[in-house]
Amino acid sequence: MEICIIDDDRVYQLLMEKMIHKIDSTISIKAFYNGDEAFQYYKRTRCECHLLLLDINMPHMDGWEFLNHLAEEEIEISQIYLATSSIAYSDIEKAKEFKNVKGYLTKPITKEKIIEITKQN
Amino acid sequence: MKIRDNQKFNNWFYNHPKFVATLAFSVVFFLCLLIFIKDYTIYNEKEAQLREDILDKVESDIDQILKSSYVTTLSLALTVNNNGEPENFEEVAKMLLKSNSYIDGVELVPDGIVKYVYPYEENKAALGLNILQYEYSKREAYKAIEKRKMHFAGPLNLKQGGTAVVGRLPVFIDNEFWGFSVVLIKLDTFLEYSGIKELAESGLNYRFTKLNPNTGEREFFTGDKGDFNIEKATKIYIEDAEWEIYLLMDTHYEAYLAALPFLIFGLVLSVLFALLVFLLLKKPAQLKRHIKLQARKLLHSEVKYKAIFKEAGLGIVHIDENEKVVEVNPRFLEMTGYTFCEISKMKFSNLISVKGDSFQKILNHEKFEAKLNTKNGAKKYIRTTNSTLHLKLKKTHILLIEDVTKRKRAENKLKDLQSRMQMAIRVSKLGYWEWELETDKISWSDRMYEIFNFKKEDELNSNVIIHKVHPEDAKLYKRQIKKILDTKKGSTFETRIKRNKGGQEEILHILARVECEEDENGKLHKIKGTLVDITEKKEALINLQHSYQMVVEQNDRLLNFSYIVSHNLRSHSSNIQGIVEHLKDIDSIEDMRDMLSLMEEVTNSLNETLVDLNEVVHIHKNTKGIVNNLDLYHFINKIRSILKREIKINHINLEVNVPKDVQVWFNSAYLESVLLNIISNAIKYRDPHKNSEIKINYKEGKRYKILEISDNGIGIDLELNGGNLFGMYKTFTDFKNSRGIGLFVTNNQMQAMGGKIEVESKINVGSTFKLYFKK
Repeated sequence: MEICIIDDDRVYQLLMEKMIHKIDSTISIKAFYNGDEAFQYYKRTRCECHLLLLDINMPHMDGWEFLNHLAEEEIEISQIYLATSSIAYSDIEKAKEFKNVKGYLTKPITKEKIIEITKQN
Repeated sequence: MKIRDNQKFNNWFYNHPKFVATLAFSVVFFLCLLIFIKDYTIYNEKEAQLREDILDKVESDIDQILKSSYVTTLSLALTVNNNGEPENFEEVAKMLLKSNSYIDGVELVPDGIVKYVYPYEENKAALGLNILQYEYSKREAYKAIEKRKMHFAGPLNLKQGGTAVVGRLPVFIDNEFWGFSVVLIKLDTFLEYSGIKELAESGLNYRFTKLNPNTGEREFFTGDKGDFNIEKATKIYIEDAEWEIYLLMDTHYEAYLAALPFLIFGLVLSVLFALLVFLLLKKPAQLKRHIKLQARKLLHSEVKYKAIFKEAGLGIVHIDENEKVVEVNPRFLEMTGYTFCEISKMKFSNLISVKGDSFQKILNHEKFEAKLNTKNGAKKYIRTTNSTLHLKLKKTHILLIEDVTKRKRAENKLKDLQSRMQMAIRVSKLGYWEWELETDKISWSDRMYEIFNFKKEDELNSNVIIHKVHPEDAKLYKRQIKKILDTKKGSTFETRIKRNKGGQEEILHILARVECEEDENGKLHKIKGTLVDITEKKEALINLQHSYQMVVEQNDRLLNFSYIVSHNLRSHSSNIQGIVEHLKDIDSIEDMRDMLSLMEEVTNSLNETLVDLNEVVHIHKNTKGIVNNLDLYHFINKIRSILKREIKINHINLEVNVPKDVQVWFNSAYLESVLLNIISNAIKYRDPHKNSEIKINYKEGKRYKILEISDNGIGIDLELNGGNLFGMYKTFTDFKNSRGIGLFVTNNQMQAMGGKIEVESKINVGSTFKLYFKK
């Protein structure tokens, strides 16, 4: 299983990596520091990723732009979770517009939450 | 009034000129006709006389021939002796022929048988012919015997040839028939000597005829029977020969012809006479008609005058030299309320009150206005037209008096209304204008001249006005005018105009209301309307709009700020929570250290964020800080000295082209912060492969003073970042120390001071930041 994390926050990336590996050390983690990096990767490889945790506020290409680019290029990633520190209502509403967004997670993301998500897949 | 008609008969003539003319024509023509007929008759009678004379002569000539013939035959008969034999026939015959030139031959015919002929050669063919048995001659021969008298037969065709008249004298010896003594007269000879031939030569229409004794039919020896009318001809009858000579006068036609000129003359005369009569009679009729017409007109005008006098809407008064009322019409009495009796006892000057002049003086005017004192005490405004009338060397007056009370009141009302309207226009500061399209003539009210600051003598036309419209509004203005002209419908629109006041150009906002006026053909000929200066209102509105926009923008910024705050603070707090969570079940010292260093990182960023936020809050708080006129060049130099180290290390070529005297209205701390931010950014994002250059230029716009800071650095992908360029926490590059707060703060500071910031950039070419300082 592979979990992909797109977030510009280095601390968050490290914490998530440690947490996931504690749950299941077989899970491989792919880290991108902005939407563009991730988009270019998927565009190039067309790799299917099991689970994608997407931050909204990022430099270069934010979460929304990333989702739009995916739709334009018809890259199908079925399990996308928005993981953001924003608790703005408008963001939660906007997330519903994207079909492939499975859920909206607010930071900090707990171990239980990750277990729940990984179990579903 | 009536014109009496005592000459009815004459009038009848005058009234029927055509009939009388016809009558005159008939009479004259009838007289001419009578004369004509008389003339004709006389001519005819004369002709008849002439004819008779001619015939008389012919008759006597024929008689002469017959008599000579008789003598000849007798002489011939005497040659016959008692034995019945002729003696010396040849000699006697010869002698007889010689003495009678019109006798062509002689014969002796004993017992009806031709025995002796002379001249012999010519007539020998006849010898031996028994004329008593010869069918052709026997009847006439017997007739002669019966009558015992000479009888002329023929003219007939002779056996020996030729046509001749044959005169036969029966000869009796001892009372017993012996035979005939005969003379032959050739027809030609006969016609010549009898004068008949002459008739033909004179051109007379005659016939020489005889009833054929054998057939009983009429024979014509000269001319043919044709259309000769025997009944109408004059006739002579020669008994011895049973000849009938007819003479026809073909004179009717000639008679007509001879009298015709007279007839024509008569006709012309009659016509001329009739015409003369007609013209003569017509004149008085015309005159009479004219008189009648005039009389009718006169009557009419008298009636009209009376009607006018009685029924006129005007009061009419005739006053004498002592102001006594001589005559007055009912209307005037009605106006005053007095009766004629009452009025005739009054002086006219008591009836009216005149302003200023005395009544006598005012009578010198043709027209004057006054007040009328009515019986019930009320006053009426009157307008009087005065005509002076000299009667028997006395000066009297006819006054036409019009009650103008209503009009006067209406006039006063109108005046009142006008003054009120003028006041309304004055108070509302409305300018009124009219534009005549055909002549391009424009008329303005006083207020219009004030609005445009024009002098009264300045020329006005559409072109002048267009030039006064603000250039930015000119297109719209022209479109508005065109629309009005096309649709013929009024409109209301706003525009800006320029005006010179005290040598300076001012911009005015005006509101124009336009109405169209069409002429009777539906053609647009005038446009008019009002104009009002709405500059104050408009500016207030614009200010209001600005404030509103500012509030909206501020609100946006605050929203953005709160969003950023929540997001950024939450991201740190969530990280701390994450670390703490992790620390709970830590299993190695190494992990512990990792966590602690992470913790340090998080707290550092948290601190940084808080400092940034503090700065942002500071801007928002400080918008009403001290604002001064700042020396731009001085501030740039200040920044240059702050960044001296960076400039030197990175070999930056900083070029400042800013005039030294430029000042901007700004907060000094902000200006420092803005310049520092933009210039340090330009250094930070330089292109390491190039010789870095930074140029600072200055120019002046309409509303802003513009400072342009351009670099040849790595540039910004505006397509990717444009919309969020000045948002909080945006970084465009992967530089570790890039902090998005800079542009956000700069933008906010510029906006707080009424300015703005714009950017132009191209990746790998460079960026230009334009700072707009409000003038």
